[in-house]
Amino acid sequence: MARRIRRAHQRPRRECPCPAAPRATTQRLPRRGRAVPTGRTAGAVGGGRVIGTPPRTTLPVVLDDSAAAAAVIDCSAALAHLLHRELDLVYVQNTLALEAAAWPSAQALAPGSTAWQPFAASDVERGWRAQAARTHSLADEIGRRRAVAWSLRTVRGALERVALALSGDADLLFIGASAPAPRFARPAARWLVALDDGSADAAHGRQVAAQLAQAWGARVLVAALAGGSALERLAAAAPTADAWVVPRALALRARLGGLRCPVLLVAAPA
Amino acid sequence: MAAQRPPAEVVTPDRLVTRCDPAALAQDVADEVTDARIVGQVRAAEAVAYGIAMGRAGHHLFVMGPPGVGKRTLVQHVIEDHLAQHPVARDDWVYVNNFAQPHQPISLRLPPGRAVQLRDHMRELCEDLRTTIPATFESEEYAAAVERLNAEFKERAEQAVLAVGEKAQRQGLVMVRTPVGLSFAPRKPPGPEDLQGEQAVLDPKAFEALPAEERARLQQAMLDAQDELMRTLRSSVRLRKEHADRLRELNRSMTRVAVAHAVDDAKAHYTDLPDVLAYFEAMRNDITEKANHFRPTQGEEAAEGDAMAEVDLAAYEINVLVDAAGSDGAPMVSVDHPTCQQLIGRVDHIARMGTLVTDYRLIKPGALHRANGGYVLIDAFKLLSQPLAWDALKRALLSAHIRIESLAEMISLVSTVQLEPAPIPLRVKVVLFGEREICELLQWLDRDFAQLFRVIADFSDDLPRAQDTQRALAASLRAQAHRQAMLLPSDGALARLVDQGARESGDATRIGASVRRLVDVMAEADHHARRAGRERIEVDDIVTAVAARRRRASRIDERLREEVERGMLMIATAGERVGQINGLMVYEAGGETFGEPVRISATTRLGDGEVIDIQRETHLGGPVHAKGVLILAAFLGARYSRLQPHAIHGSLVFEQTYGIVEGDSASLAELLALLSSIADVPIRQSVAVTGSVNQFGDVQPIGGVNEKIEGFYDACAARGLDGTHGVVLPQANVAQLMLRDDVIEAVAAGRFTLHAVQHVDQAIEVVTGLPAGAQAAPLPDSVSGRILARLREYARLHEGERRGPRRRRHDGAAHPPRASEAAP
Repeated sequence: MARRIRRAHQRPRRECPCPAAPRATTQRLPRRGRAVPTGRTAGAVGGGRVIGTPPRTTLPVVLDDSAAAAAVIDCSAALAHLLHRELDLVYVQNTLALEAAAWPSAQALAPGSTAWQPFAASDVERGWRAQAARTHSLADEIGRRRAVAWSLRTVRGALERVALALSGDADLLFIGASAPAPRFARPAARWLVALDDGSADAAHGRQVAAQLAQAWGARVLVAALAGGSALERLAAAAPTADAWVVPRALALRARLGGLRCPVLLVAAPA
Repeated sequence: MAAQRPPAEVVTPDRLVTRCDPAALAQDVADEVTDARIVGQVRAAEAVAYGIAMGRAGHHLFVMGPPGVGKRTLVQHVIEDHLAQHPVARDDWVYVNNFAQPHQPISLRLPPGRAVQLRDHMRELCEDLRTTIPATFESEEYAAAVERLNAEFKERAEQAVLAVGEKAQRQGLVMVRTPVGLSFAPRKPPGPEDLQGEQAVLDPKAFEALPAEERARLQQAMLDAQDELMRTLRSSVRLRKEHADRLRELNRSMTRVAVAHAVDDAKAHYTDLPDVLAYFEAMRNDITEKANHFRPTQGEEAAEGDAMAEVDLAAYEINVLVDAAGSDGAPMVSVDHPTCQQLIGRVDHIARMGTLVTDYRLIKPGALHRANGGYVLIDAFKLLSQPLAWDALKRALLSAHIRIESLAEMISLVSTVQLEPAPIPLRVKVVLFGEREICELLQWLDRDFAQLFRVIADFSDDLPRAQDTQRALAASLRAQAHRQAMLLPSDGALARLVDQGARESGDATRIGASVRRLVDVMAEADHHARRAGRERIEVDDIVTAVAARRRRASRIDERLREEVERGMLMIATAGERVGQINGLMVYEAGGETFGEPVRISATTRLGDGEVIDIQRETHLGGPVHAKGVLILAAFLGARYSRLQPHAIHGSLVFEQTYGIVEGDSASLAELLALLSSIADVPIRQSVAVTGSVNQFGDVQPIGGVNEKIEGFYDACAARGLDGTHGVVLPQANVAQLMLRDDVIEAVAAGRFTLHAVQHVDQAIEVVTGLPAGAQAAPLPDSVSGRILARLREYARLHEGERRGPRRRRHDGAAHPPRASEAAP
């Protein structure tokens, strides 16, 4: 069953005096296994649209609880400003956390803590609210600084499924993810790794990577991908990249859940 | 019987002044002197020469004497002469940062000229480093090295955590990231709808349906996974530290390479200066240690465009304190305003964010720094007037080090960041200038003074008026005129200036040592000469200048003379009065000395031999004056009452004086007034008397004789001179006479007379017109005879009183007879 999801801002854009005016809603995606079907355009209600059919005036960004939110929003905002698009931030609350909290003896090791502590679903909900508030705050600050309009939605599900759902017709999709490992020193320079598998998507990806690098103050490393190479292996080859620019088709074949840094999926214009 | 004394000498006009012969001052072309050398002062010059040449510690100079005698000029000449023969080797001094103890800056000594060189080299070095250090951190090599480092540690950390997750997965668990933290739960087997690699948590109900062994295994696996994750995360802390250490070492290494070449280039210039080389090494190490500070900020930390912020290398600048080869080259420093900070230097502060801060670059040198190795000249009065300056100077001289201390901190005025700069060795000769009183006070009150200032140069107030002295003075005046761009004085003008010098010394046989006063007169004469369109300063210009200077200071003198003429100030210049005489006094006003007549009166009666000094009784007489009165009272008793009771009560007073009377120069006049009262002999009021007496009646010289004579002359001249007017003065003062021309003319014309006396008897005869009488057996009509008769009568009456009323009744004498009636 497909559920219609209202567009983040109800009013037409021309009525908004400020391009960076924030609009945020909280909505719920279907549970895992019954998510929004990919590549399908849903009907709009009241000027809204169905998730999975983003117009080319937006840049969808999928975020989770990872600490990379600030960098991902900043990077995507730089790209959105460059392309004159609006940021469509989607904060994904991983339902696995709720399922783990449902266990009677569930315990969690908080960052910086030295002891395992019991936790419950209420703790997870509280944590999500805090993370949503922080994401909202980051979007507000970065949106003003980059002069980019943005909206924020909150959905529940799995990052991979939401990303797949949004990547259907999107020419660009940012997926913010990071490894659970602690962060080390800030890199001396920002790096973008553009994967080149010889496809049209990859060629377009290189162009986008070059533009993004200029807008974000980063350097670009183009990594040629031999046929059949797994994305995970490349991830191991460039673990400190700030983001990867990956052809969409290549990403769909890979395990998005295993990503350890932000990824920009790129599809060549039709 | 003593021999009859000669009468008082009438001073002839030729002895009233000693003129300098202009011909004797004629200048040879070969002798032209353009350098104003000090006249005379041989003793002081020897002392100064010794003090300057003496190299041992504690032999600083105190040059004392009246102002204007050329103390500073003489010292400067001696120092210049000494330096010409014994040039001093002075050093440059710099302060540099103490990287280990920033509040204790380090001082470095360098050969002359090297301090500025070092500063310039350091500036160039810092300029180089400002480009090379950022370039190093922006290089691809550095970025690649950092990337490798970060990648290595990120990989190690991630792999460790991922390995835990993978191991848990093999055990049938799933590692879940929750907003609360990482957690483990049993894993649901993947289904057909799941994406590749997608994980799911086993439902608790399904878990309960598992066999007991499987449930126990999963639970144990969860515990094991938790322990392992805990250990992994703990190890990541060590990993983080290791990463920071490796990154720091990388930065150091890159900085060291960047700095090494530039520092080595700079060091090559200072291989002969180990301290400077050590500083360069310390600097290199400090830059290396602070490598992280020089690394440009990047990424999220840096604002847009701020990544290339300039590297701050201010901490490596050189603060040149003394540039011996440049601006501080003169080895003789004269301190005009000798405050504590001007002497020993200071540490400035700057306000930053409302707080006063400082560092070694704000250390400023003092006079001792600039004069180090040479000489420093200070006015003692100014030095002692400045708080803590004398103590600071003594500390520096006693310790032979200049230690800059904050004045505010010494007196606890402020509490802020303070520096303790390393002390600088001090080798300087201090010359203090001051008046004798200051030197005596320091000798008396300060124990350190004698230890530090072992050489005292004492300048005379005046000089013998010898021919060579006059010529030297004339030469010095010519040189001053040349140096100050005045018209050159003629020989006659110079002679009048020499005369003026003698006049100011108060002695025709001496010349005042204050050349400055004569130069002032000459400057004024120069003004008059220029106004008159003359090409040289002539005698008339000098006379005009002297008269003008005196007139400017004569407000009180004019007022007093006016009061005398109106009779408000009662000074009789004609007639005779018993017990009343004209004394003479002097006072100073506006730098000039004036003489004025003053009426002195005396009364006597039967008493116990006491002479009352009313000035003293009313605290209007000074101790020297009181002493004079006691001396004349002693003379009176010794001469006239040696063998009988001195049964007299006398009183003396300066009429119409309302201030302090000091000095004994009126003791002759007081004695004459007293004798007149006792003898009942009137005194001629047309004559004034000056001189002091001793217990034998000898008349002693006094000061200000010229002004005193002129003062009485002016008073008499205002009323008209009739030939009876004159002044009695001590014989010894005749040689000192330097009288005005109008007085000399009056004397020559017989309208004014000067009587030089050696003994009081000679003065008695001048002022009374009667013979004084022999000391042993004076004639009854002599003044002494009358005095003896009166005192004998007083004694008889006094004795009668003491023996009782019966004897007095027997004698039948109710009152003593008048002196004029008594038999000798």
